[in-house]
Amino acid sequence: MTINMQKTLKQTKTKGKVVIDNISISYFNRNKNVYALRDISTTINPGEFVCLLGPSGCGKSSLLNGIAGFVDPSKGQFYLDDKKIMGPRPEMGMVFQQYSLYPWKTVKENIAFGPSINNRGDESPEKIAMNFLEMIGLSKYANHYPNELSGGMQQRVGIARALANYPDVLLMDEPFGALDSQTRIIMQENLLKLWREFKITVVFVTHDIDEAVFLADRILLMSTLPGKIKKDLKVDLPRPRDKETTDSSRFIELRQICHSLIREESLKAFDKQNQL
Amino acid sequence: MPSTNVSQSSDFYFKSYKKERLMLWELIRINSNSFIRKLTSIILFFVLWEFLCWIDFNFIINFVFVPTPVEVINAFVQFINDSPWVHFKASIFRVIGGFISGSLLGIFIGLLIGSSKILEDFLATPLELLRPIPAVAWIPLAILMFPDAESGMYYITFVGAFYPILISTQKAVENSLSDRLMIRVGQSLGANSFQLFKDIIIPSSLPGISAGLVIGMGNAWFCLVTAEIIAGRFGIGYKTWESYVISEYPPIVMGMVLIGLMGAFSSYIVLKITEYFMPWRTISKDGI
Repeated sequence: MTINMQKTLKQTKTKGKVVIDNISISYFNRNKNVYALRDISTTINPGEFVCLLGPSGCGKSSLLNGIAGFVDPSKGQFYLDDKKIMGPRPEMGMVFQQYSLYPWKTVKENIAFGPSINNRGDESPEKIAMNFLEMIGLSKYANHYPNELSGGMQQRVGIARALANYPDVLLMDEPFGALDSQTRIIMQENLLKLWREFKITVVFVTHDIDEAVFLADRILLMSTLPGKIKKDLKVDLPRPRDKETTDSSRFIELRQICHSLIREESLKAFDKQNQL
Repeated sequence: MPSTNVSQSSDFYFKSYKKERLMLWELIRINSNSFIRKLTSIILFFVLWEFLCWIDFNFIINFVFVPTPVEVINAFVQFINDSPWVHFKASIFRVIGGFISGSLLGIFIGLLIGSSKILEDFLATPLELLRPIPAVAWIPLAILMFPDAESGMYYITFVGAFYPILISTQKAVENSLSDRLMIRVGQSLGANSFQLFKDIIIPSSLPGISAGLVIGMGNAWFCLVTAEIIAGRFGIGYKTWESYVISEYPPIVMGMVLIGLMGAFSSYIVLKITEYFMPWRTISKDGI
């Protein structure tokens, strides 16, 4: 079908395949080995938009930090384009939960930081930064410091900073969690635009069901303690998606499915936490 | 006269936000309430002092032998008429020399031991053992260790400046390193250790280093009298010490006040210079 054809086209065109191969991540807590994740395997295809969805404490952030190379798995291996992931690398951009812009750098300098390090040659870091600022509509704020910007603006800069390295994979850790719902919806639509433009793999962590259904090609629903993938849910909503998508019956149906699965998990997690 | 479009407070906030430079008199005008409060506090301080001397206050603290502000001012006038510049110059050079060497070495070693456990193990212990030694206790060794009195004096102001700068730099770096998010952002953008250090650790440590520099500058003046006890014929501290030896009280207080003034002024200059390097910081104390 057309969707499949599009996918094969993307596969041949872009890099950014992430393989999660039998991963376990555990932490040492009070002399007890606590598994945040246990025996997780999946493949994220190039150009795919995948949401990791689950209640808090299900290990979705651990999985993302593992892919990013910040956390070493206790078992298994992450691969990016068939190469082992041994640590953070510029092929994978990361957008963080909190406002993580450097307060001592101007907006422009924040975005130019990645390009100035990786130095790809053809364009000056300044030029790249200005291009990205134009793309996110914040050219006027190039020489402002982050604390002069609103939360939504800061997070737009955060996304631009991650994209300015032209990564193959964009990892996002609840990037819109701190924004008000109006701003959040606009940010989601803009993110989808950027994703289409860059043909980039996105792994997006969230606990917001609507957000996951609206954004993703695929939702990996996670269960708690230890974290596992409970359900691998295809989101077959047509693209491009906009406000009307959220009113469609299929959207509501998918949301319902996620809702009941998550509720089950939240209750289970609640009980287990009480037992511990 | 230029037009006074800064008289309204909203204009003022707009101006400071834009980081335009204001003339001194404009600043005084804008901050007139604060300025008046500060002026009043100083006047009250002198009035209280004069009053306590005048009534020969003697309860726990004895003001009978304390020179009055007027006597101190007379001593100052006399001092000014009697080629004061040699004294100022000698002291300022000693303080600046000690401060600059202290800050260069303090920041350098502070960055090293703040960021490396191995270097901390090697360097921190001896430095920590030397730290509590007061400047006065260094006098004999300073005389023995240095070829002339002048370099001994530099050494003592150096010791004063060095330690606060060292410790604040070390702690500031450790604090920056504990901010995992900032480090992770850098790593995910592809920064190596050197780039992390240069673009993230150092800028985020600047506020701490700045505090160390301000304290260090004050401490260098602190140690000046001690330094100038060693020898010499010039210097504010020497003048103070000499007046004590010959039991002339007003110049002692004058020397103290001068050191206080110059110390406060130079700390202020250091603060302003370091603020220049941290333009991103906006501090509002009234909004807590």
